[in-house]
Amino acid sequence: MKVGRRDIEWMIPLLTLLLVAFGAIIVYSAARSMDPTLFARQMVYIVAGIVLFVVAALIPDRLTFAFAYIFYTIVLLLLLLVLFVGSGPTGRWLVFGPYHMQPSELAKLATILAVARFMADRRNDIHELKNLLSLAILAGLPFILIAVEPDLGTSVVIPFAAGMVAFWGGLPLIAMVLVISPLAVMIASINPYSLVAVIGLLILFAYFSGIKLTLGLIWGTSVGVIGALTPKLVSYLKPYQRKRLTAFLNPEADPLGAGYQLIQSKVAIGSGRFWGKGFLQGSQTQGGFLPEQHTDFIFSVIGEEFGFFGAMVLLFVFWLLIARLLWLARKVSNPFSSLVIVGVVSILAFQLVVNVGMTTGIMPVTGLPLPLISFGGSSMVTMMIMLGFATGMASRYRQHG
Amino acid sequence: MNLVRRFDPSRLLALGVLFTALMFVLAIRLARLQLVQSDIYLRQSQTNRVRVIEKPPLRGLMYDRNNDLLVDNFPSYTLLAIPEMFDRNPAVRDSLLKLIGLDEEEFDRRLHKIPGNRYTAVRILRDLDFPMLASIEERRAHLPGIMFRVETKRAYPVSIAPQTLGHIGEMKEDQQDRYPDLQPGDIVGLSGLEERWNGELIGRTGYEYVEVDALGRSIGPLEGVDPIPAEPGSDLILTLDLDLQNYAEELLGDQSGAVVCLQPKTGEVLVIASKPDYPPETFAGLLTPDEWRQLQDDPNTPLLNRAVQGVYPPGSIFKPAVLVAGFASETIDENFKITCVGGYQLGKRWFRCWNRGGHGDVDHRKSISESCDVFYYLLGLRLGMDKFHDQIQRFGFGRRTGIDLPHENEGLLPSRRYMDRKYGQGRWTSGHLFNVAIGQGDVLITPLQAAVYVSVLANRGWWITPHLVKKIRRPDGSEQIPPNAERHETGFNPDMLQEVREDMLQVVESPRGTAHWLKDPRVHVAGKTGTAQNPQGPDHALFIAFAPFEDPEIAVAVIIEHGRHGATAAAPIAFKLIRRHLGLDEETWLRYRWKILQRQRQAGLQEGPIE
Repeated sequence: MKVGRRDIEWMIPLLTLLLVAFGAIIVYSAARSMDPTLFARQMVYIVAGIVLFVVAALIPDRLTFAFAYIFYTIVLLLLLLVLFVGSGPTGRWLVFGPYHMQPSELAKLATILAVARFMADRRNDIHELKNLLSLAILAGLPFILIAVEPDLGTSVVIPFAAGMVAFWGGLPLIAMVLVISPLAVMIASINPYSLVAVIGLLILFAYFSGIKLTLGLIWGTSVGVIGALTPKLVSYLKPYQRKRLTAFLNPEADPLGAGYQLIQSKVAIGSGRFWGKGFLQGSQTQGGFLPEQHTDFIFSVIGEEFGFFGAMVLLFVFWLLIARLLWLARKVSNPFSSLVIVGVVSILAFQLVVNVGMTTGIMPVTGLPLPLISFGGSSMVTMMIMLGFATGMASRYRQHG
Repeated sequence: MNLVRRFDPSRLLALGVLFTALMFVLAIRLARLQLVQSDIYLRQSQTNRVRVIEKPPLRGLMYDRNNDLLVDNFPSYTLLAIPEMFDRNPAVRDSLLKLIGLDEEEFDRRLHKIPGNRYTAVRILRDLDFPMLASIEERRAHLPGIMFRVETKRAYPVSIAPQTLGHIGEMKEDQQDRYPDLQPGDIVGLSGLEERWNGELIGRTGYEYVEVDALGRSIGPLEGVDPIPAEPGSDLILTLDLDLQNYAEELLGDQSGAVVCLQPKTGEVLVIASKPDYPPETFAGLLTPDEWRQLQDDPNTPLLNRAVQGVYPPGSIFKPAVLVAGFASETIDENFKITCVGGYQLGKRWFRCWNRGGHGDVDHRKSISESCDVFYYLLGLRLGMDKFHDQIQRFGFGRRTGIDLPHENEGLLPSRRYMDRKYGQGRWTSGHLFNVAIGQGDVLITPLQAAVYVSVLANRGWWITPHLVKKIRRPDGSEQIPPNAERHETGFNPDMLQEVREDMLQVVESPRGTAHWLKDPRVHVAGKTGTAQNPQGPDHALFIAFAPFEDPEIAVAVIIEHGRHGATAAAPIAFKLIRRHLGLDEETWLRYRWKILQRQRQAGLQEGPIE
């Protein structure tokens, strides 16, 4: 079908460009005291991102739908590959000549496309256990492959986004609980009290939901096993990850690393006050006191130089983008497109909340970038492709809403 | 396609509400940081000199078994530097280097030993002496980025067992694997008990966030951040007996050698002495590379803990073990006898007995008490390499004893495989067997293994892993017994061992016994003398003993390098230690000995030959 000029979705590209432009300004400020070439590189990433945004928007939906599983399989293979030949400081990069990429970023896109296709297919009755399991595997494989890389931060985005897509696709609430419960138990097992509390809640839920006994037993045992094994798994984590985990629960436990970073980040943000110190005027930023201030901790630069006002404007623009995407998900008439858009908005919102929460000291120090703002090619390009897909899909199907 | 039938719009609304709520939380958090608490943060960012100060923990102390202090802490001054300040300011670095006399490369290495650290002060020099401290303090205003800290160094109220107590120093980068929770530059144990029990002694570093002024001086704790207090390490209560240890080291004096005393029933190490040694203070504070090189290159190897790292041919102290091997493998019974004519002709070679006049008829008793070599040549020949190895390894030879000290040597107990590999299959002969049967040739033992071996005889068949730490005393006063005392069964028949013990008693009791001159009528001592040939020079003197014979309380092994005769160089030390441990005074024995000598002179008698 033809897309008329008035059907083209202009809001998303506009908001995206606004955010990217703002991000470039911030990267410039953050990188000045570190490595001046960082800004130039970021500009290259942004241009590449814009091109790929347009390309993604032009891909017909049938094609996306048809290639969803193939793309997913290729990305899984890349994730496997990176486990063996990964390079870079943390071993998460694949290098092809002068180009290098993080397949874990692509995996976000691949997983939401695959899950969206699965949920859009009417033959897959989501009330059947068999289909629920397929869904769990679809989301679980990339999660596990990325988690063992190890990149815990990126890996948790995937089950979250997949869960949101499935939720929108009509996943029964009880299944949601079934899927979330192992994760909840894993997180709660860090502390015996919270573990008991979570397990108690789950038992209560199981009792009142009238779940079948056999299913309940299988579920109960597997959740129990996961809870019991988690501390063991934690001991297999790389030292820096265990440090980050404990640093979240108690940032002071790593005073030279995460604890120091957090304190400096909070000083930067807090000292920005209402109006901020002004562009390039942030003493924390320009003094280079913050490690990772151009990537994971870039929000502290915004907080310091543009203050509460700037941070609020940024959050508001993000909120507009999120709200617009959700509204479009409701409007488009094609289930696949709608599901993909929900996946995109979930990834965007999750990373935004976790990243800003981290820099302000209320979320774990996970190493997730701030979407569209943080320095970094893979995350920039992937986010732009995802928003490109959303724009294209919205433009083609909106008129039927 | 009908969306309405499949998708429930209220779910989208739920997502919207969830995301909005989460962003609202972020907004509240930002308002708190940037509007409510902003004054604190603004001030911190203006001075922008937030520093993390490490609070080094107090290292645990060491006490002997009677709670006498062996290793103490003593305050000393440490110079620290903040990497960031020096990287920015090369001129300051140069003037500091002139003051402290470090070269640039070494200074940079110390400054950047913690990867990625820029703002935490790191240790540059420990144990500053007062003139240097004063000269730096004088120029403090021109040296932003340095700090002083009072740290402790080790102090030694008594000067004993330096190699066993060990020393401490800064952790090197390549030790990160061994101490994953520590940073390079942290103070860790580098040898002896300090190294082996580092995890208990070290405690945990505390941290404090402070604001500092332009010169890097602390102007107070950072608001809103709680400091983490340092946790002191645990004290070690050792099994050592300070008095006996001191006495042993005194008795060794200038000789090279080692003494080990064990409590056979508990495996507790009462004495572990190794000479020559070095003053324990050597490593307490600053040690120049020259001093270190000198110690390391000393041909007398004072750094070597001979008791656990030195290996020696056992010589005749090996004979009771070979005899046990003969009995246990049923190669011989207690009626086995030989005739010694002062040597044995094997093919073209004459294997001498140490007593060239010959021992005449020799049964197992006499073979031990008078230490007849020919008896063991023939026993070795009958045993063969396999039985020899399999029986004797039950005493723990050729393996580490498992004592709680690092770098224990396992010694060497040759087996058929070893001999084949060393000399080639079929290329080694009965002559080699003769040699190992009298504790020469390829056999090598540590003094500690000798003490464990004599403990097995004392206990009639079992031993406990020798250990130096009796109790760990936590900072809260609670005490814990470390799991380092495992019981090992050799499986030897206790009645058979009793026979061999009687033989060893005759070494002292029999008038012709090799250590008869040391007999003390107040206590029955079972022992065995040894004199071991070695390629380095005069024979080593060895002696093993346990006492009292009826209910052993102490097992002793003494090795005097190049002491020539076990009975005269090593045995008297063992007897003196036994008497001191059992509370028997020297004078009574000397008077007894004097009387015997006079009686012999009157009778015109002479003492028997000395091995």
